[in-house]
Amino acid sequence: ALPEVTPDEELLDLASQYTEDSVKIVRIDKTNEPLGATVRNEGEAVVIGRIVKGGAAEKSGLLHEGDEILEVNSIEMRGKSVNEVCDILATMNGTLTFVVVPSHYESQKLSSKDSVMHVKAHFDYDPDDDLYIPCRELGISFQKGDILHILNQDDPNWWQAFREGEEDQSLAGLVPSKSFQQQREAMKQTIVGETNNREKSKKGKFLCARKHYKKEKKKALYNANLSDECDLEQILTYEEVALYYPRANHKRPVVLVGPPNIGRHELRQRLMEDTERFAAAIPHTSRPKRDGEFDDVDYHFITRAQFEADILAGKFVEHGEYEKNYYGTSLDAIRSVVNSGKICVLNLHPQSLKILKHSDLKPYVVFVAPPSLEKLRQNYAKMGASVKDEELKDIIEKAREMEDNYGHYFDMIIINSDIDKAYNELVKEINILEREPQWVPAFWLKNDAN
Amino acid sequence: TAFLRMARKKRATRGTYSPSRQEMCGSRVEMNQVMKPPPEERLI
Repeated sequence: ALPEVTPDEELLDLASQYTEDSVKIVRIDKTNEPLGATVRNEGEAVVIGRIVKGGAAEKSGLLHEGDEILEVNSIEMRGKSVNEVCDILATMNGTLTFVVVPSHYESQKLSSKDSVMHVKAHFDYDPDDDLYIPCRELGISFQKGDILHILNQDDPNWWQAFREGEEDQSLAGLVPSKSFQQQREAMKQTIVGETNNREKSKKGKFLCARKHYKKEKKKALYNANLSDECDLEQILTYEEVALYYPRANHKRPVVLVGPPNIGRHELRQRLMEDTERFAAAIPHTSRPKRDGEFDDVDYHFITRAQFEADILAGKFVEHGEYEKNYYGTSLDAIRSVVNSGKICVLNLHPQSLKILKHSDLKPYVVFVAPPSLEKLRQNYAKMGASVKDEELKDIIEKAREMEDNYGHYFDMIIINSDIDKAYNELVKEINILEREPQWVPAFWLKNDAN
Repeated sequence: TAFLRMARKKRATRGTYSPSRQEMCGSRVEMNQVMKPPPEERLI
């Protein structure tokens, strides 16, 4: 049954006991579940802090942020701590009669939009470690790569969200908003940077460092809201994503990145054995064509001058010099594999990921990671190679650094402890790519002309 | 191994930061000026 406002005599009598200009009496049915509203203390008052998506309070539309609760089922609330209020309400169920002083700005709150934003998280979050979360009970934890459905952004600092896979929860949870997280991270970096600067000047190496630092401080005071700080965009928080449905005429290129010497090239070779399905992009080179080589088959052979012009024109995803000749993979070369209906398999340096991401190619990025040191040692022993532990540790360290710096580009991580297993895992994932929708950066779809 | 573990632990508590980026365009706002824990809210 829908809760309703009943102006019967009993309630009028109840209302008349209060001297406030207008009190409101609302009735909401409550089960054993929370109503889905938070309360905070403002002096003696108990005030609604927020209405949570999915709860009875939200569905009723009868309680609003800023409403003061005077009593519930004749129990007086003014003067009680939020903890007491919480305990009392937890024991109640059935129809609850609230006497409230309505918030003055409730009418504005009605305008909040109902559209859902989907984001991918680029940081780990644990509400138990967060001093700043207003309501710990509502906090939801997530990890890098998790998809969050943001249902409400009314509070500039705290968004209401569901974590993908847990939409069956009745109440939304709280996550830090993008701007809040950016501010927090910017401040963390400032503090670390400050310590860093001090240490430097102590050593006496940077005599000018102090001056420089003062200037910066002044500047920051004018824009304390951090809105136009140049590094905000580089702080990883959330990325808006949208669902992309597989298309037969656009197979997403599969990009393998990872530290050297842990089987990335072998994985690529194995995939390429299926020539019906996979193909490599034909690289460019400035070296002269040799006997038995064909232009546009083995390489696109171009002059050194042309190569340099193409580099400047941003045509290459990656390029390098080897024995005084240029080699490189162009966006066009990848595009022509895509246009041929095959899956382009690329082994690239992670530095290329940014260019690729901002192209129209919609890459699927797989990070091939090393297993534990022990496992890595065993794998090398199996191949009959003796490698020093120092080198193995170096590989593992490189992988960790890559993940730190480029982890937000990865769609999938494969730990290559066994090449057959890794290969099967990869093929399984590629099969899914061709069948099921995936979350991709939202701007990929906005820019899509098709 | 002990060193590696120590280094990793240090990293874990410090997060990612880039001192050079910080020097280029550092934002300096007093932490406690902006970041006050909000009043506690409880769920009912």
